[in-house]
Amino acid sequence: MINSQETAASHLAAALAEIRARFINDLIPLINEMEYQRVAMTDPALAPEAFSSLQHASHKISGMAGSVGFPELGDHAARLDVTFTKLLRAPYDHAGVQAALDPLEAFLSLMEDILDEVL
Amino acid sequence: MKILAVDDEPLVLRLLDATLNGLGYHNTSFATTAAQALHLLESSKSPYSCILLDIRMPGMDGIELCQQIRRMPAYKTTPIIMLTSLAEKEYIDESFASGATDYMNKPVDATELAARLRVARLIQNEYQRSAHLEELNRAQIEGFQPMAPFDFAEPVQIDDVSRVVNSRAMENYLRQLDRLGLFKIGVIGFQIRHAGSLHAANAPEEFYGILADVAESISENTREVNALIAYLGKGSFAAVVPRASQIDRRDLEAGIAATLYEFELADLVDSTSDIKVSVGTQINGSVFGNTPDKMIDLAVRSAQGMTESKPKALAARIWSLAG
Repeated sequence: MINSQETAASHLAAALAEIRARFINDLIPLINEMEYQRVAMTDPALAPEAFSSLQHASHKISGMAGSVGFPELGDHAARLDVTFTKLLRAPYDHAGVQAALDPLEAFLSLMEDILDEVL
Repeated sequence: MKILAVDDEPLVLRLLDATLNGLGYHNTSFATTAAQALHLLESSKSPYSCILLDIRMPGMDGIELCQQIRRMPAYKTTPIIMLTSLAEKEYIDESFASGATDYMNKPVDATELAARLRVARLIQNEYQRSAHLEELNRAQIEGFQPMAPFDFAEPVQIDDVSRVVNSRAMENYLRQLDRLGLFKIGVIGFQIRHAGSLHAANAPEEFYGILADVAESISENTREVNALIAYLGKGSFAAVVPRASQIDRRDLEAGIAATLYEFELADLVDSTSDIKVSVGTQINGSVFGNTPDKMIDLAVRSAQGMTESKPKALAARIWSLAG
């Protein structure tokens, strides 16, 4: 019984390590995409697509980050998810876009810090 | 326990696979789209006993998928747990109104998931143990009547009435709001007067019909505030409403009486033959207490303790509402 519990625990630990590695790997293209959309979202013509992409990326991160050891990143992503959902639903709001730039910048820095630390 | 997990993010499914395996659940299927999930549900030889649904997915989202699943006779009562990183009240409300039985936020916490699955298993077992409900389900699936008898205290599920959920789902809904600190809600209790006598005097399908009509009339009269409603057994209902909704309980009582009159269940003048529903005082959520169970209990007690409106006064209020 104890052996089977130990086996299950080691399988889970191995799976979590693999999932964490895949998550970190996925951060690299996400940073590039979000950097690009950060610039695009200040242009009213490109903003809807940029908001959608930024919302998708932050939603994807918010759902996983906490489970693979990055709770701060997950919380930050969840807040951005809400921000971009609101921006996406409303007509283009210059003040709202400006207010989102700093948190987005901080988020991108946090992602880069994580990559610096683990890679 | 046969589980179906639906999420557009393959990494989340991989995480769920590992977590569920670690918890001893080895019979899980995975889908990355609503269409895939529906195909699995329709083609499975034995039904799934629990479904985990992400909300935000491309194409059909988890809320619409939940509605579709509930339309499938084999999945009317199967526990559906929404598993999402969305924590806003609007998503919680929509999920439960669409038929979800529970709501859990990501990141996936193995201990919490284990607890929710234990509850899901209990719900499923409850339904399976209840011969009455099994027969009820079979009658619905095969489309024959009459319905098997059910206990007066049984919180039978009222189907196909907008925003009416089962009592267990309502408890989970209130707990989820409580966990997230969303206290801006209130609960209103409703009591069918002389419900015990009605249960004893009517055939099961007739009593069920009365419950469905009362549920419909409550739903109709609380539509503006988007109330979530559940039947709790013994002729009692509860509705969760926004705390600021300022519903006048006597107006609501009159509105329900008028709707029941339209359904020909109530006679506004002959007080001996009609179905009457009393409405209690709204019990509000609070940072300082009032657990979900307590709120429901207080709301129903309030409705049960209300004195009956005089028929003429009730009729006058209905006319004033109409005018």
